[in-house]
Amino acid sequence: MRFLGFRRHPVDESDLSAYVDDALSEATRARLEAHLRSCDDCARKVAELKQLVAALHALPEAKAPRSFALTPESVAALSRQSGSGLERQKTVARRAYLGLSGATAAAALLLVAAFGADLFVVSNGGGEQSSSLPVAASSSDKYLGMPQAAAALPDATVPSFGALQPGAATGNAGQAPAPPVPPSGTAVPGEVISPPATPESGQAGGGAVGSGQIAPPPAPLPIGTPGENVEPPLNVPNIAGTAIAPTEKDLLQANQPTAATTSNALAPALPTVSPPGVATAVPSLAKTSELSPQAQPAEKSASHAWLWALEGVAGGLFIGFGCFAFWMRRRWVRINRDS
Amino acid sequence: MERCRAGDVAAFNVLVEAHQDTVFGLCLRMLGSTQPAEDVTQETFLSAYRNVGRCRDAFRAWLLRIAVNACTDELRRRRRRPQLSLDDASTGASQLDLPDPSESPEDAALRGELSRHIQSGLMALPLDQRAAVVLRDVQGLSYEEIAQALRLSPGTVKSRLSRGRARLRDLLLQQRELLPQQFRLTD
Repeated sequence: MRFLGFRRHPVDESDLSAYVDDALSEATRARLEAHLRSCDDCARKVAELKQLVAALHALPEAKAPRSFALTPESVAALSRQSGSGLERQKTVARRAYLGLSGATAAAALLLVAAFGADLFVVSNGGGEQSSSLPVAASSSDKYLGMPQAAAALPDATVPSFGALQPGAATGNAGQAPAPPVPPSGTAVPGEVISPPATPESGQAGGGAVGSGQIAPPPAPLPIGTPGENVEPPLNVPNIAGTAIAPTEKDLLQANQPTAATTSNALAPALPTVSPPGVATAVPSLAKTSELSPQAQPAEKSASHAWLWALEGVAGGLFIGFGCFAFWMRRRWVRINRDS
Repeated sequence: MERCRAGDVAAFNVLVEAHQDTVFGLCLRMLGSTQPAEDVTQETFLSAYRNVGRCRDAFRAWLLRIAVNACTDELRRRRRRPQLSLDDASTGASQLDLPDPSESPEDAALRGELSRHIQSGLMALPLDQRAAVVLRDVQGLSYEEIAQALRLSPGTVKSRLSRGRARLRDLLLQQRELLPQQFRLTD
């Protein structure tokens, strides 16, 4: 049945093998038997297979050379071993795997957040909003469990450090929007980051920022030039600083409720300042609008470098944790395989 | 089974006695020599005793799965220390000639030679095919039981078995001049 070098067979090799074992369905077997009568090739193969199976079957039967019954000693040794060794290995491997998957997920989340922030910056770079500010807002939002906070304030996403900082620097709590804020305010999705929330105030402040001009603060404030805010001194609390700190922690403490509170915990500790990265419900529009014009210029390139670094770190962690988690899972599966 | 789950060693040993020939035979054909097969058999029963509470399938298929896995681990260990496997292989083949006292010496010699060839053919098969061929053609398990023991679908068992047999046939045909006439595959 050769045709242009190809063998055309209505049956494949595994059917021949199964035929020898009498493991075919009735219909397949009837078809195969009809085929065997006309195809010498297949008939020869079947004969070979039968010989082979007979030869394998004729192998001397192995008898256990001794009894493998468990003795009291081996059982005792087994319980010692399993109590200390194997069970603990299983637990450790399982926990390590779960922890690593969590870390991988957190790194992925961070990567997405950083990338999203990057896109946001790029698409809004020439707009009327400060380019560096949404970064702080969106990244801190994500990690506070308020992914929609930035979106909720499309025009007022100016959680400007500028607005907060004067209050912080002057140490005058009255100027800062602190009073209306519950100091321990946990991240409630409905709450909104940053005080300057009225749309008009956001636009006013954003306009000043977007134009890249240094808007002189209405009150003389003992504070560095606003442009420095990207790299804030440690003792000056501002959004950027607090937003960075918790995200770094989040890398390692993903999915844990404490992650959300770390940034909040910082807030009360800072004297006189409104909780920096924490949402305020913006009840006091008057106060915030007073503050909002004190915006500072955007440092676009600096924030970009910052984002790129973040993306790089997040990507690296994602890959690293991912590989490690994969390996740990294989280990865990192997340990558990026999159970 | 219930008493085994409760940790009754005597009850478990009844099962050991019932299955130890099968398990040892499987390990012997998988590994190719006696001493490692003994060790792996013992290891299999210890592991089975430890995990018997979690046995959900038919006991024999479950036990054979543990044995196949243990053999795989043993072969993997051996590949990391190749000098050991050479020793095993050189002494192992002769250990496989388990003479049957009812045979004449000539028959025994023939059988010994044939079984040595078949065993070396088996050892040349990939592990998954080797396990399928041994379980089916040496141990005589049904397709369904093999599927259970190897956690495969019956269709996969069928194709794996077919490929293993085809390969084994090719290997044996290559050296058929070495085989005694009556056992030669197709002339």
